[in-house]
Amino acid sequence: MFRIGQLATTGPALTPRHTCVEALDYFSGHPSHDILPIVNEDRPVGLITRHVLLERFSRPFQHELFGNKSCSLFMDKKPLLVDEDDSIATVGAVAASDSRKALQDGVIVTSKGKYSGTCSGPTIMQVLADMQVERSRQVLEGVRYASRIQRAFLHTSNENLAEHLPQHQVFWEPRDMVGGDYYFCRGDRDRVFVAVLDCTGHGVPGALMTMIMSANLEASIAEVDCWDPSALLANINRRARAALGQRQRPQSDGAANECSDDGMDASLVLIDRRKGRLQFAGARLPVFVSYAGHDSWVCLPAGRPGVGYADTPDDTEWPISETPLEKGMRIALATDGLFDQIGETRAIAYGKARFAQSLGAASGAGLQDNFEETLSRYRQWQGSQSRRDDATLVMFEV
Amino acid sequence: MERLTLPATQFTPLVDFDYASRAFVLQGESYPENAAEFYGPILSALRQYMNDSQSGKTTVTLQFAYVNSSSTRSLQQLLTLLDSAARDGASIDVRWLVEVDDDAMAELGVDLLSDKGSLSYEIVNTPLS
Repeated sequence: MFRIGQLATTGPALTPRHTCVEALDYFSGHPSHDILPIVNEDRPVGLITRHVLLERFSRPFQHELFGNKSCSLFMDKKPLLVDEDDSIATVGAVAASDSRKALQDGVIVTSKGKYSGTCSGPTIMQVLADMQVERSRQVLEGVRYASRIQRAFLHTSNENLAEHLPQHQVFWEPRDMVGGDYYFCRGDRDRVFVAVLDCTGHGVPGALMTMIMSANLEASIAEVDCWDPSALLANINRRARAALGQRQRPQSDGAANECSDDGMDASLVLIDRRKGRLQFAGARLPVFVSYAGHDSWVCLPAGRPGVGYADTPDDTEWPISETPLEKGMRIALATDGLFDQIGETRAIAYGKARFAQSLGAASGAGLQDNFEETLSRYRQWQGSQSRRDDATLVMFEV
Repeated sequence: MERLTLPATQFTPLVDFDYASRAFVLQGESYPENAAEFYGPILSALRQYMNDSQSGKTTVTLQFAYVNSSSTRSLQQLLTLLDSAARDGASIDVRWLVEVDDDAMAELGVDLLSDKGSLSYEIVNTPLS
């Protein structure tokens, strides 16, 4: 960490025995110095600034009246004194809260109480700004790297989608490079299981949650030993609550801010080709389906509580819905980054109804066109509005 | 208690707790990075007001355009608090205002309010802004 001593200029100092004329001479002899420390027997006693002295001596008769008087007449008698071992951040904070304009004029640096040098206000501010920029750059670099990891983590989902649902399209766009949305696919000869998870938070906290929730999903698949969407949601709920210590928490009205209360919304779909049916269970996220030859999309509604939260009891069950599976049927899973996006012309959310309409707008076309038209309408709705959340859309045809 | 007012920001709603006229308003968008931190003091203020056993009707007006999931959790806590105050005899009216056609906020209102057994509430459509 930077110490103020490393930035100090150890220029000459004057003493109170020097005259104002000598101080003026100092400034004309050192055009790059704007401050002049006054020191008495190694102890700093004041600080003269160029502009104050010049302003004073531009008035009539000042030379005659004060020229030979002590330069201490026009010094700031209480400049900010800092120790050479103080960190720049500390000095910056003290200077900023100091009414003596230390950030403008500068500070006197001491070593064991003795004068050691000065540091100008602009120098301190420049270094503080550089430190801030560097810190942001490091954080950003970390998040950029995290984004690589998160994308790499989705490759198994992508491979499984490609293998089991050759006709599929994915839009996955975290708001801030990494995010809380995640999608998952697994399949065997007769069945395909697809899930879209929307964990609380976005950015880094959201991304952390996707790691926890995807691990719980995988573990639940092994534990439950089937791909029943409803049973899986219930199992993930119990696991996540235990993992985050959210079981013990009293269901109060939020007095305990320190406790974790995080979870996820999710939609889980099981395509069962042998039984000719689609099963769905959702926690606050619906699924949309459309049969070949129909323009309209049907919304299969989700169950109500989110998964894993402190006030979602361990025995919560999410209802399962079922619809026949037909060749050419299309299915869309999305997160509320799409449904809740605020629009440009009307500052209200896009909503599920408009989203379903957008799905139907190009139902007659191929899946890719259908998908792109859906996204294009969503983006048109958003217009110049900023993105509010991570957004995911997974569409496929069976 | 002194009136609590916070101006709306890009990420947080306008807050106006007018204790004298017993009118409470939250209005705007809510997606702060840390919702618990933003709503903590608001919940405390409300809790204190409810504890100071007020007589007379309290009206709470909520109008949102966007609420992220962690803010939804905080609103859930806020309404649970009002619901238990109502169960203990406080007279509280909650108005959830929704702009025409805003399905998402209408849905959220139903979601948050429908299980509040003691609270008197209405979900009101407002004309286009």
